[in-house]
This record gives sequence, structure tokens and C-alpha cells, in this order.
Amino acid sequence: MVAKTEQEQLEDIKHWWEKNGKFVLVVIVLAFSGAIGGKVWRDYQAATEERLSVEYETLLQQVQNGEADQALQLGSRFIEQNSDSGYAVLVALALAKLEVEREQLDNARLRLQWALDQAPDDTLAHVARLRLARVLMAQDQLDQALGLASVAETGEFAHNYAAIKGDIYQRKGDTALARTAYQAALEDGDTSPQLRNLLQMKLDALGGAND
Amino acid sequence: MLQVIRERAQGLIAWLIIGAIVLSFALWGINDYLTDDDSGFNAATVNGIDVSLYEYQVAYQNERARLQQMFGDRFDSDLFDDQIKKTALERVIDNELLTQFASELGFRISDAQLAGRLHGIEAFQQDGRFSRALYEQQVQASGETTAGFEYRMRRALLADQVILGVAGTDFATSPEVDEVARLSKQQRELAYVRIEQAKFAAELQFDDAEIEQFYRENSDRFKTEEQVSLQYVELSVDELAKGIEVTEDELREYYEEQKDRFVTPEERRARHILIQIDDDTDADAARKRIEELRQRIEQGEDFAELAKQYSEDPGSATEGGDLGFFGRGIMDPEFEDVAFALEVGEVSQPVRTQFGYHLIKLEAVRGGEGKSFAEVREQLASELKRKKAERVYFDKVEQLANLAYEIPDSLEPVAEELGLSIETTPLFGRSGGPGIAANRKVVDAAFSDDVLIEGLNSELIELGRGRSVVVRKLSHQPAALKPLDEVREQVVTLLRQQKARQRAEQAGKALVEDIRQGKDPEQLAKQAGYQWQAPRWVSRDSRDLDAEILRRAFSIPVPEQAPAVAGASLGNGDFVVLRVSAVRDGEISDDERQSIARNLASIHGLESFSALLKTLRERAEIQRYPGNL
Repeated sequence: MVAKTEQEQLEDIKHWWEKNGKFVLVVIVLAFSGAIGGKVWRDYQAATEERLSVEYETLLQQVQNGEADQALQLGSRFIEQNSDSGYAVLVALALAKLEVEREQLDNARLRLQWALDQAPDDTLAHVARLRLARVLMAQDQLDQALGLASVAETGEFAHNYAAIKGDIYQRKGDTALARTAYQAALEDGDTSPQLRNLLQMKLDALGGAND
Repeated sequence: MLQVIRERAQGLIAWLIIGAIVLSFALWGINDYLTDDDSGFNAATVNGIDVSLYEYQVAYQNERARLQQMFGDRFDSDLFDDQIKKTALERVIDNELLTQFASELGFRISDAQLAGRLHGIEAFQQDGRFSRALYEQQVQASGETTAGFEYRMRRALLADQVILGVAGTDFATSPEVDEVARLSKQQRELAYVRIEQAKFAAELQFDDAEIEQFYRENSDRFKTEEQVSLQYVELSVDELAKGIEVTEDELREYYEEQKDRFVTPEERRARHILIQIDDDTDADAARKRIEELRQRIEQGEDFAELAKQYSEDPGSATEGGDLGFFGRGIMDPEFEDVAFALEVGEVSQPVRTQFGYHLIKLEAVRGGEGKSFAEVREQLASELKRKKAERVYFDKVEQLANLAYEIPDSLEPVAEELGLSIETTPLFGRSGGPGIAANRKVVDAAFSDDVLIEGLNSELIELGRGRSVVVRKLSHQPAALKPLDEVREQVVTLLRQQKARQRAEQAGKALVEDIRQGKDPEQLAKQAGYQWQAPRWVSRDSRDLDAEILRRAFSIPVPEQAPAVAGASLGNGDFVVLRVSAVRDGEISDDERQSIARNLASIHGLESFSALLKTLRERAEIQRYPGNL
């Protein structure tokens, strides 16, 4: 291959440019406006998220301080207006807590069902589902609760599900299944000592095959 | 190619191309520079995001302080160190996981939120208000930048939003509270008898065959500890320093270098009169005028007054020529030499500097006091020796490590090469011994396969404070069964305990059967010489009862009707027979109810949060760099 002179190389570049120049310019202009537009959009997003973050913290603060009325109001509005926000699911969890505390179990159930349906990720889905099962149990909807607690994929939440199943079976009067469920939860190495004490106490109370 | 185009380019086209290339670097290149990080500075990588060593170190210090507070004097940093490192590393990984999770959910912390949190920290407050100066000072004192601190803080706040949103939003339903209240406040009517093993122990007799058999069957309990003794060569800065000479010149030079530590620098206060050399006044004229002034001073006129009238130094003239205190290195060198040679009150001869001619009057001297060379000579000598020894140490330590590794079958070549002597330790076990055997790393090396089994030199072991050793096995005493005669007493004691425990259990189980048959327990106990504890109501938190017996009493399943009878061995070998004759649900106050509800909510909340965190861990790709810690 014969090496081209620099002059020839420059000619090549000019040729290429005459052929493709317009296209390149259009691409550059598009890329720029895209980048600028993107930045504007991202800034807007960030500002929105930051505003929601502040509201979310206010809500948590109110929950902690026991200011239930304000928290219920703020939380309901938050979900109405920002149901797509990542905070919304956690806001729903907080609202469910407040509803349980004022014995509005139907409301709590709706919040938890919504959190379960909207959960962006299966860890939060597990959290919502476990709580929903417990609210159903409190409403004596034992079969529905059992259905929820019998989900196939329990992952790291296995002992939480087992503990709830034990409670449900105990309520149904099925002592043998309750015992099996409690024992499964106790055998799980992830169970905390506090929950372990609780489960042991419930297991002991079942009587029967216990030396 | 870039170069060629740049040089040759004429006209718009080529420039546009260059522009496009530069632009692409600008848009895409910066990212690479920002995120490119050497993993040598990281503690871990979590899903491709680096966790810095600094962050780890903060966690390490916190964990260390926590344990120190918990264990007080019993805190042994050598013993705990590995555990602390592990805990700290896992903690920063958790924090990173939560931060990433929060970001995935679209969580953000605004500047205002961050500021709000900073302002609330008491350590940064003065008279109850946030003080920026105090904040900067505190953060810098901890060796961090405020930017770094705020970055960490922001991440911690993000993680908090997840923690509070999951762990803090759990609850306890009324039936759940009722159930726990019913069980935890339950009362049981309990009668029991304790069958003490000591009662049987006293009357037990054993023949030689029984003793021999127990000794054989439990030989692990009668063995000597496995021990090892070591040979070692030690390299230490202190030892090296003893052999190092320093000359008088080196010491003087070092003194000059370090003078600030021993002598506060001298400062002098002087007045001066300046006659400038400029276009109007040549050097001779200036000199003539300054000589005149000097004569007037000699004749008794006031220096300050004359300075005010005639000095051409605008800064000082109005002050009577006063320059205030100054140290060396501030003034023009010619000026300084004269000023630092004058006696207080003395007026100099004319001094020529780049500005013109000066007269200087020394007003006062301060500083310059301190320790003379002779006074600190000894201290300097030992410091300087140590410094030199450290350099030798670092050279030799490398040689030591290499030689000991290259010739792994003996310490003699390395000792000879480095002029070190081979020392030995007495025998010691896995819990360590005197001298270097007190060091955990030495003990671990001594019992490592390489040293103990293969008989090789150990790797270089740094003992800290400029001391390193290489060890090898001198002798090894495996664990051996002690002769029966030596441990006979111990064997009998253990045998007695075991048999007495079995007797108590037998007697207890028989008693359980008899009671279940319907015989009068009190009568039975009396006949056998046990103390029958009459029935009474107890709750889980009754204090006047052995905790172990209480726990057993509440774990007995109670049938609907007849009393339940059960027996259990206790930790100390006693056996207890329990009879629960009735059960009743507890009564609780509103306060207790609320506290149960709070407790349950927090147990459920933490339980689901820790499952969430574990899931994040399972999902994540985590690389740990323990070598960097």
C-alpha cells in the first residue's frame, strides 16, 4: 500500500465531510439539545424528589410523635398526588400503621394492598404482604391470611412467613400445623432472639409434644 | 493524526472535526476521570460502587469505641481487632446497600435537609446555635473535610429513610397484643421438689476398674496442653540504635534543623530613619544627610522626633520610625544583620539597603530563650540514632523477610548475614506465653502448619513499634494423656458428678411416675427426704424462684383438666420435679398493654427490615478487600 501524503489525507477528510457533514452537524445539534433538555428535566425531577423527601420525613416525624391526624392527612394527600414516587409505598406502610393503631382495619387493609400492588421491588412486596396477612388475621379472615402467607417465594423472609402461619393455624385451632410452623421459624438461624422468645412462648402454650 | 490536522488545518472543515473530537472527550471523558479510582483506597466494592477506606475507618473507630466502652478494662485490642474489622466492614457494606436501594427508589436528600440535620448536632453548636466555625473546626479535627463529612452524612440520611420507612412503620394488631398479654402475664400454680445431686455424691464409692474406665473413656479431658517452643531472630529499631554512632557535626546540624523545638525565635523591635536614594537624591547626598542626622542624635536629639520629621519611610515615620517586633527573614538582609547585632538603646552607623540609607535604633529584644545545644545534646543524640536506626531497620527488615523465605530450613544464615543472634522461647500453648509469645500473631504462626508441621521459617511477623521477628519451631510437645496417678483425684471428682447426676435423674423420674399414678407427692417427697415446695401462684417474672425452674414451669404443656407433672435436669446436675395444678390468664393494665404493643411493633419492624437487608446482600455483587484494611 502506498502511503498517502498529508495533502491527500486532508483531501480525503474534505471528501468525507462533503458527503457526511450535514448528517454529523444534525447529530451534534440533536445531541446538544437532548443533553440540555435532559439536564433541565433531571433538575426538575431532582427538585420534585427533594420536595417529596421533605414531606416524607415530616410524615415519619409525625408518626413518631404520635400526631396521627396530621400524619393521616399529609400521607393521604401525598399518595393522591405522587403515587408514582418511590416514597409512596413507604408512605402507604406508614398510613397502614396509623390505621391499625386507630382500629380502622379496613383502611389499613386497603393501604397495604395498594403498597403490595405498587411495590417496586419484591423486598417491599414481602414487607407489605406480611403486614396485610396480619391485618386479615386480626379481622378473622383466616383463610385469606393463610393464602397470602403461603406465597411460594419467601426468600430471606421465610421465618417471618412461618411465624405468621403459626399464628393463623393456632387461631384456626390446628395445633399440629401451628407447632410445625413455629418450629420452622425457630429453626431459622435468621430469627432474632426477641422473636425467638415470643415464638417459644407461643409454642410452649400449644402444649403437647414438648418435653 | 490530531497533530497533523492541527498544523495543516486551514478553513472551517478541519476545525469542525477537531471540535467534534474535543467535544466528545468533554462529554464522555470526564465521567471516566471522576469515577476512575484505584481499588487500593477502597474497603469494598458493592455493585460496582466503591466504598472508601475512609468510610471504613470511621466505622472501625466507632465500633472500637463501642466495644471499649462495653468491656472497659477487659478490652483487649489484639483479641478484638479481627472482630472489629469484620463488623466495621459489614456495616459500611450495609450502609452502601441501603444507600443504593434508596437511590433506586428515587430517594434524595436536599441541601436544606442536610443542613437541618447538621444544625441539630450538639457538637457543632455554640450557645445552643449552630456555629459554622465550630463545625469546620470539629470536622477538621477528626481528620476529615467538610465536603467528605457532608457526603457521608447525606448517605446516612438516605439509608435512614429506608430504615425508618420499613422498621418504623410496623404495628401490632389488637388480637396480637391480647395473645402476647395473655401468655406473658399468665400465672401458674406451681409445686415442685428439687432433688439435689450432692445428696447422692457423698455416698458414692468407686472401685479401680470404674475409675480406669472413666479415665479411658474421657481421655480428652485429662490431656496435657499441646505446646511449642520457638527459635527466633528479632530485628528492632531500639537494638539497632545502640550500635549507631553520630558525629558532633551531625548533632549540631540536627540541632539547627530542630531549633524551633528548643528555642523560641528571637524578635527585635527597632526604630529607623530612611533617606531614600531616588532621582532627586543620589547616594552621596543621601549618605551626607543621614550622617548629619546621626550627629544630631549624638548631640542628644530624640531619635523618634527626627524620624517623624525626616524619615522617608511613609509607613513608620509618623510612628517615630517604630517598626514593631520582627523576626529574622522579614527585613532586608543588610538591615537585619545590623538590627540583630545592636545592643538595646544603641543607634547604628548608616546602613545601605536597596531603598537608601538607614539609621537604626534598637528598642527591645524578646524571645531567643531556650535550651542550648549542650543541654539537649543527649536527647538529640538518641533521637538521631533512632532516626538513623529506622532507615537501617527498613533495609534490613526486607533482607530478613527475603532470606528467611529463601532459606526456609534454618535461621542461622539469616542471623549471620544480618548480625543478629538467635533467641529462644520457653514452651507455650495456644493461649501464648511470656516474651514474644505474648503476641497473638506469634502464637498463630507458631501453631500454623508451615511452622509446626513442615518445620519452616515463619513469614516476617511485625510486632509493632519497630520490631519484627521470624520464628521457627524449636521443639513441639503434642498433647499427651497424663498418667492416671497424676489425675486420679480429678477423675474421681468428675466421675462422682456424672454418677450423682444420673442418680438424681433416676430418682426424679421415678418420682414423676409415682405422682402421675396419683400418689401424694408431699408424702413421697417426705419419705425420700426431699423438701416439697407447696403449691403457689407464680408468673414469668416472679423473682423469688430459681429462674431455671421458673422457665421449666412455664414450658410444661398443661392439659385442660388434671395437673401436669414433669421433670427436668438443671444446669448444676440437680433434678427438679414440677407439678402445675392450674393456669390462669394474667391481668394487664393499659400501660402494660401499650408497652407490649410498642414492643411487638418494633420486633416485627426490625425483623422485616433485617430480612430486607439480607435480601439486598444476597442480590448484590460484593467484593471485599480485607488486604487494604
